[in-house]
Amino acid sequence: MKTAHPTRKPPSTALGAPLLEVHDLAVAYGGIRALKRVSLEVRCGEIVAMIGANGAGKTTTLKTIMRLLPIAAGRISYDGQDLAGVATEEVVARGVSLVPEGRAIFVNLTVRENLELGAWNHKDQRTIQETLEDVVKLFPRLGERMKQEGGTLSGGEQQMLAIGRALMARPAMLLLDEPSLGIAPRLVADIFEAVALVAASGTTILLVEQNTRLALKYSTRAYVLRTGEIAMSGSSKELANNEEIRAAYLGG
Amino acid sequence: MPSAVQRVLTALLLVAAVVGLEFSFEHIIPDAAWRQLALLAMVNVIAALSLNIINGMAGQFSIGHAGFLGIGAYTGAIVAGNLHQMLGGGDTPFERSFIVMPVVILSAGLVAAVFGFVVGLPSLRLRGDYLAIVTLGFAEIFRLVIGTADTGGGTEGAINQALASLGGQQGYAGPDGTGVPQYAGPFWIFGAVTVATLVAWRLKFSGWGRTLRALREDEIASAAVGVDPTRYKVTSFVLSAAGAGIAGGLMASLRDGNPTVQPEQFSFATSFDAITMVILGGSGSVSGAVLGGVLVTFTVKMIEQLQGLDSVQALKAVYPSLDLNALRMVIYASILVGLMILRPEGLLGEREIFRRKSRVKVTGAGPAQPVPARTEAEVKAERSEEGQAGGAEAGGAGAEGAGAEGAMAKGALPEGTAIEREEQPLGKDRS
Repeated sequence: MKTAHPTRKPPSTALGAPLLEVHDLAVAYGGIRALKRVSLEVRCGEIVAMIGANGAGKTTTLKTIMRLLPIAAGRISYDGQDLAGVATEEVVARGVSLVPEGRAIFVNLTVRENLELGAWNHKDQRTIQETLEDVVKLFPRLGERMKQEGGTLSGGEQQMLAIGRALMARPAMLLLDEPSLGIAPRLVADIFEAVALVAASGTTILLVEQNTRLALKYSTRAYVLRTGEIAMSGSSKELANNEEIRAAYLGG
Repeated sequence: MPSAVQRVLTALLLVAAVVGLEFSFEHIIPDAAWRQLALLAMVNVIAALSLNIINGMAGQFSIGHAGFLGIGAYTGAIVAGNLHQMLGGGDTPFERSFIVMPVVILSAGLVAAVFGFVVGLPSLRLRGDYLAIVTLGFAEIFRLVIGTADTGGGTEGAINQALASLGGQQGYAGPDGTGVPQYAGPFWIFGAVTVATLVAWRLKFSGWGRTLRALREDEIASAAVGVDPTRYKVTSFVLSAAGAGIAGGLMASLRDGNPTVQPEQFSFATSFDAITMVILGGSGSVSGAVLGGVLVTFTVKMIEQLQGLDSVQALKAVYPSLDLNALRMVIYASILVGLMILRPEGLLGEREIFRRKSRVKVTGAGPAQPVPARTEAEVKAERSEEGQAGGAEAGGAGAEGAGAEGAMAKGALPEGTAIEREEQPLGKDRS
C-alpha cells in the first residue's frame, strides 16, 4: 500500500502522518490578496477535498503549493521540507504532481507525447514504459487514442489525459484542480472512480472541486474555502450533513 | 534502420557534393550576380533556420536577429582579416580556407552565443513579450554603437578606440582596409547550410524539440510536469544566436560578396526579413525555414529584375513620376499580405516536406491493449513480482532491439531514426 517505485523515493512520512502542511499561507496577485490566511494539512494516504465558490482561492492554493505563484506570507512544507524558494520542477521531482484547471494538455502533441512529457523527471525508459502501461490500464480509452493529437479528444478524455500525464511522474501526491469541469456526467463518474483507484494505491490526493457533492463523496476530509480563508473543515461525512454546507453548496 | 555504412556513405556523398559545387559552381551559374545571390540565399537560410529555433520551435518572439548576425559578421571579418594577414595576405586559395573558415565559424558562433546568453537570460526569465522588446533594443544598440563609434569626441579609452577601428558607418574592411578576405566559397556555404539543416532537423525531432513544443503550447502545464522553462528558453535562444552568428560570419567572408561589413547591413529591415522567412515558410518547420530563406532572397531579386523589363521601362517613360523603387516594396508587401491571407500558418505550417506528420514516436511499443481498469495496487503488486523476470524478458526481446530502442529514445536519436520509424513501427510490446 505505498508507492513503491524504483526511481523516486517514497515520502519518508509515515502513512497517516501529515505529508503536506500549509500554514497561514497568503498569496497576492499584484495588490490583490487572493489568499488571506490558509492553513491545511493533508496526511499521507488521504483524499482531501477543498471546496468553495468561484474565486475563493482554491486554484491559487494549488498553484502556490506547486510554486507557480509566489508566497506572500506563511509556510508550505511537503514531506517535512519547506517549499519556500523551491522551483516548480523541483517540487515535481520531490513527488508532487498537478492536474491543472481546464486540463491544460498539449493539444498539438499526441496522447503518447503528452504522457511521455509527464515522465519528464524519469530517465529510465523501462520505468516510463511500465508507468505508461499502468496509466493505460487506468484509462483504457487513452490506450485506444495513443497516436491522436490531444486536441482531438473529448473533454472527458482530455481530463483523463491530464490525470494520466500527472501520474506519469509517479507522484506520491497528486493535486487535482476541478477534474469535473465541463465534462459529461457519465465520464465524471469514471474519472472519480479512477481517482479513487489511484488513491487506493497509496497516492495522497488534494482535490479542488466545485461539485461539492462529488468532492464530499470521494474525500475523507474537506476544507471549505471562502474569500481566501478556511471557513470550515472536518470529515467529509460531517460536512455533507452540515446544515450550512447543505444550504450553501449542496442546494438544500 | 540506417546502418553505420549507410550513414557514412550519405555523409561522403554530401561532402562530395559540396566539394563538387566548390569547383563547378562558376560553370553551373556563370553570372556572378546570380552566383552571389545563390550564396546569399544559403546564408539567409542559415539565419532563418537559427531564428526558427527560438521563434518557431520555442515560440518566443525575437525581433533582433540582425544584432546577432552583425556580431557574427564583425567577429568573422576581424578574425578572417587578421588570420589572412598572418598567413601572408594575397589570394584566398581554397586550401587556406580550411585554416581560416573553421576559426571564423567557431568564433562568430561563440561570440554571438555569449551575447545571446547575456541578452536572453534576464528577458526569458519572465513570461510574455519581453524578449521582443529586449532583442529589438539590443540589435539597434549594436548597430548604433558600431555606426557612431568614430564620431564625436569619443576616440579616448581603449574600448572606444577598438570600436572606432571598426570603421563606423563606412564599415570594416579588414585590418589593412583592403577588404575582408572572401574565403567562404560554395564549399563552406553549402556545407554550412547542410549541417545547419541537419542539426535543426535533429533538434526538432528530439526529446528536446518535443519539450519546446510543449513549452510553446502551455508554459504552466510544462512547468507542472517538471520542465524548467527558463532553461529551455535560454538554451534555445543561445543556440539561435550562435546560428545567427555563424550566418553573419559566413556573410562577411562571402565570395563574390561585399568585402566590407557595414552596420547598415544589420538594421531592423534585416531582422524583419529573417522573421518573414520563418513565418512565410511556416513557423517551427525546418524545411519551411529553408524554403522561406530561398524564396524571400529570390523574390526580392525577381522584383528588382522586373524593373528592367521593357514594358516597365516604357511605363516609366510615360509616367516619369513613377518611383520604381517604392513600387518594389509595394509588390513585395502585397505578396506577403496575399500569402498570409491564403496560408496564415505559412507555406508549410509546422509540417515538414519529407514527412506527413511532424512528430516522432519515441518508444518502441505497439498500440497499447485496452485493459479493464484495475487497482493500481494490484498492478503494483504484479510489477514488484515481475521485477527480475522483466529484466530477463527484455534481454530475450533483444533481437527486436527493444533494449537498445529504449536506451536511445530519450536523449539523442540517431540520424534518420525519425523517418525510419515512421515507415516501420518497431516491434510489438515486449510480451
